Amino acid sequence: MEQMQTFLAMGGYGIFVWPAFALTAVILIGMLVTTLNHLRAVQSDLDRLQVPEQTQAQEARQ
Amino acid sequence: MSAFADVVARDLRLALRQRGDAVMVVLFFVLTAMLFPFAVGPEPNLLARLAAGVIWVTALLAVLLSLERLFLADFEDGSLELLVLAPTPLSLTVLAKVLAHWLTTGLPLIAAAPLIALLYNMDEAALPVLMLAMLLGTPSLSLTGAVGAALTLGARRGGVLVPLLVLPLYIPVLIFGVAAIDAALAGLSARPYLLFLGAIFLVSSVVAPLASAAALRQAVE
Amino acid sequence: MNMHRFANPGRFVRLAERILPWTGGLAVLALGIGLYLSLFVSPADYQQGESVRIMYVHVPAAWMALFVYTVIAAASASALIWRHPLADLVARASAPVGAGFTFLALATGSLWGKPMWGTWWVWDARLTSVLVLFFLYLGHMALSNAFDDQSRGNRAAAVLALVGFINVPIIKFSVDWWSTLHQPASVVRLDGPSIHPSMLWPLLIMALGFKLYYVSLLLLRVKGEVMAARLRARSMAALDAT
Repeated sequence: MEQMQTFLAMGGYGIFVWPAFALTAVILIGMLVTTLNHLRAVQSDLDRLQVPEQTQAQEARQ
Repeated sequence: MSAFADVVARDLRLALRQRGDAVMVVLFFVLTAMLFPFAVGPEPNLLARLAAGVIWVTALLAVLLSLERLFLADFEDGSLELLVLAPTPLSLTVLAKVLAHWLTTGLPLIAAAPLIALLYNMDEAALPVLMLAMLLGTPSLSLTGAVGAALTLGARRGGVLVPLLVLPLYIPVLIFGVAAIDAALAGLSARPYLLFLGAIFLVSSVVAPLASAAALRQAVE
Repeated sequence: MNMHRFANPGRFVRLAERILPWTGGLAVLALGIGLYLSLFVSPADYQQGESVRIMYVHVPAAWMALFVYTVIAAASASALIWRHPLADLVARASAPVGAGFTFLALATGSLWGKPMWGTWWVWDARLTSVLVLFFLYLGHMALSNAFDDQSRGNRAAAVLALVGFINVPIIKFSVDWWSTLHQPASVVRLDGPSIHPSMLWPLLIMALGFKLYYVSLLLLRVKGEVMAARLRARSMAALDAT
């Protein structure tokens, strides 16, 4: 427990070290998540465009 | 070469017809510089220390203000397409237009700078260096600014975009322009800074016309 | 015409999907090891104490800020010269990531500066150049999104990136000069030239992790741009059909 506390305190610099690492994590993960969201949105739009085309083709065949 | 002179003459004629533009630039320059004493107080020593920086920053902003008219009128009335298709190399045409722009903005600014130096109680001994630094520095501002003006033709919110594109690129001119005057004020040689300003001018007179020409071609495509 | 235009990007997407698990996995591995080494194994600095650990995220972020700008400039050059359709997309996909790294470098630099210098911001040559770089990124992003026609925006941004790339060394040089004019050279050096191996290894592994992360993210983002271009072409076609 005490070890944990000294580790978190970072020799008194904890309030600077931890935000720096936390910010890094937030930015790296944030950029990844927005990219994945964008990919998913584009993919679903693409699928939606594709479906009417197919139904149109089917209607034309009938 | 005569095509070059034609473009310069034409742009100068246009600028002369719209004298208001050039006057506005100088007015903006003096007016903005006049604001600082109200902001920081009229203490003569402080103002003398600030003079070089204020002159350069306000000159940068004044040039920025005038960049829009560099290509916009030609872009809107279609004469830009003629310039692009003309047999003269487009970068040479750009150089001619930049020269005309500098003659109608940079030169008046240089003429007005001693007035601000006077208002700011700057040591007169540094005046020649101030003029020389502006003579070497302001052409780079027009050249670099031309790239920004050409790139934003037809852009949404082109007017607010130009400062974002151009101001970071103005930093070296600002640094060496102020450093030259500070050196002269401190009784040191301003030569190295003036040489740097000259080097920046040379680099930008090669890079900026090429980049502007590429941007103009994209704009009329 | 569409087939020709997207044949190349289509192959890219398939290739990207094959590479992605590797780069992504290695990125997680390198970042994990780097994090462990930098937080638990590496020693505290005799001068800066434990605050030196900020270096392990600050310095890789600053390196990436420059590296990504170089990638954008190289991609822009090949987009303008060879009109390679993927090069535009690489530049476009990289810019926000580079801006993210630059912001990270600035913010962690500020967090490191507070205990070292006593203030959040010092007009130190290094920090100032990174700040200017951040504005170059913002300008690039704003310009590439300023046109109704996205390809015009991409080409304009490519010209800007090349002009900016030529200017980066000039700006760096002048800011260094300016900083030596105005400040005594006794400012604490954030990362000295000689660095002990016990600190160098965690730093290098973290930097490798950042680079792999960027490559993985770039593959994903370029794939997204390719799909978005396909989407635009298809919705155009759908509009034409009706």
